[in-house]
Amino acid sequence: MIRIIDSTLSYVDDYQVTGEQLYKFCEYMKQIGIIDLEISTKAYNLMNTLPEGFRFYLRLEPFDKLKDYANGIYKYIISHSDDIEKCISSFQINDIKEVGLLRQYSNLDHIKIIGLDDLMCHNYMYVMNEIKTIFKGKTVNFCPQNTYDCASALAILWLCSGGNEVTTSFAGIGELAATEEVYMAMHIISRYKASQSLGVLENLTAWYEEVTGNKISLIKPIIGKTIFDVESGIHVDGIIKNPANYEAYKPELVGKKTTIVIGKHSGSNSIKIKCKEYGINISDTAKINCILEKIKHQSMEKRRGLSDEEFLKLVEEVLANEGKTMDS
Amino acid sequence: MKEKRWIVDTTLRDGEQSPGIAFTEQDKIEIAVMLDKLGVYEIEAGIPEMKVESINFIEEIKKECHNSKISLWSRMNVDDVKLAVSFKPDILHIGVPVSYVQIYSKLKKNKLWVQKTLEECMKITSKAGVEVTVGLEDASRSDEGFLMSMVKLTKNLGGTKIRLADTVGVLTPLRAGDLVKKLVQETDIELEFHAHNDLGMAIANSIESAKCGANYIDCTLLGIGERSGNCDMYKFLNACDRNFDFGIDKNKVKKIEELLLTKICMG
Repeated sequence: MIRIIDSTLSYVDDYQVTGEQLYKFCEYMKQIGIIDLEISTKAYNLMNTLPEGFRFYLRLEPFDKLKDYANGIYKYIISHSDDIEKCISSFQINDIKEVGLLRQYSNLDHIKIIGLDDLMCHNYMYVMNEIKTIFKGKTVNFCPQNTYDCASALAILWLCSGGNEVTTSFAGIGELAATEEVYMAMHIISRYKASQSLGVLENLTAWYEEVTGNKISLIKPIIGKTIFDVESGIHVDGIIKNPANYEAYKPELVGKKTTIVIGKHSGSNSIKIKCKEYGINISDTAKINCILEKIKHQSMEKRRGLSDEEFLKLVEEVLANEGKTMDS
Repeated sequence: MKEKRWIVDTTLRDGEQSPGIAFTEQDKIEIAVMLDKLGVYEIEAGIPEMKVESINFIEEIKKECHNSKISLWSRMNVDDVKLAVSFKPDILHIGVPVSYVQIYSKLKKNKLWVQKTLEECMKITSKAGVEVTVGLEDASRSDEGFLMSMVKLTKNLGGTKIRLADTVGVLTPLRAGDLVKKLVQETDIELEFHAHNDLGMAIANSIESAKCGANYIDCTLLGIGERSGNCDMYKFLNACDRNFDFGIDKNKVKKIEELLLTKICMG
């Protein structure tokens, strides 16, 4: 069984986050089926009483006392711990040569390996197998770091090669694998939570932006605002015929929709569709080509796509020049 | 000694296809000149069929760039290929859909049509003396048997290089590496890998492909491209220039990105 532990709530200590916002995050995570959440002691204190229906993993710093955080915790994550029940011992591994050092901890039942950010450039299968051999029959949580933009891929490789537990964070906060990327990849590859709707990712994105004050990149995989925008003629044509031609999964699955953008790369189909959207009927190929040519030039002049208002103005001008009015 | 690999930059073609991005001819020339000085092996300059850029623009790029090969992209369409070769690019990429979803529901054709049309297109490029890269589109969702037959056909038609495209960005490193390894073992054709970042794995998939034998890796500046973009050149070099010799100083990539940011609006 695959277990994704989301650790977002242990990486928001530096922001002005409220207990209410933390509760909200838990609620959203539950809606996408993730109930394993790693939290910091600050988040623990802010939430006062932990919500029901989750497995909370509390990350303790070296001088924190476990007895101070006794309520509602499923397991404690403690660096290099070797004796406590209900505890996951965590180890930062910065170099693949350090993996051998883990042998001295092979008696532990549950460990967490953080780091291995450059594993992609090495024989990752060999290293992953070595770790699995050392901890045969035990639970190993892998938490790859994202220094080289490969953390999500490494988390997925771990899960696809027999590992069953990873730690991630929403949008990769804290330089980790992004929860939504690992989730969606496993959804596509292994039918992980196949019937789950993920529309609430839109709420999670808004939550992230509100709490951190950082805007999510428009093209961020899975959650970027414009990832289902399409402009080029070839792609629009392909998507109209069958969205699967150019979309790996349905936009609706993640609460988005395909949006046709008008610009330099548009084809005649886009013009027809956009006009239809606004109730304008143009069937004359010559007029469509004339509109298209003007769009391409205007888009190049502006060095961007055109807004719907700019598009409509241009259509109106072309039709007016032809001495005709719009049908609508 | 580090193994040699080459960067194919497609900022001006696949990168520019990002919705909302539109370079002027002058923008393209400026960016191409900087990429040429940077040392990328090949600059994919655009699609002639766009009809908005003049012939002069390709000529100008060819005149100003002294190191990189200048390539163009064309659909697998006889008229488009004829137009593209008239620009005399160093390399022409012909986009050949190979997944069944693209063959049957995008092209609304069949496998025989794909093979026959590729033959016709490659006759034109051969006659014009233009080097071809056959871009196997949506290779990641294709039937491996058919994929292999297309590689063999390309070789029989005189082609020497295949672009393996993960068009909708669904490969994982394991699968990308496996595909590249099989093609390297079964054929001696040169391989170019073209990633998309839909699942956040473009960098990892490109690294794994390079490790498994793909000699050419497609990148864009700032990772721009359709949907979640392509393989980001700086991030790719940063991740693996310890493993491979790309002949590129990754720190200089940042300078070109600064120029690019003045020409696009990106979140």
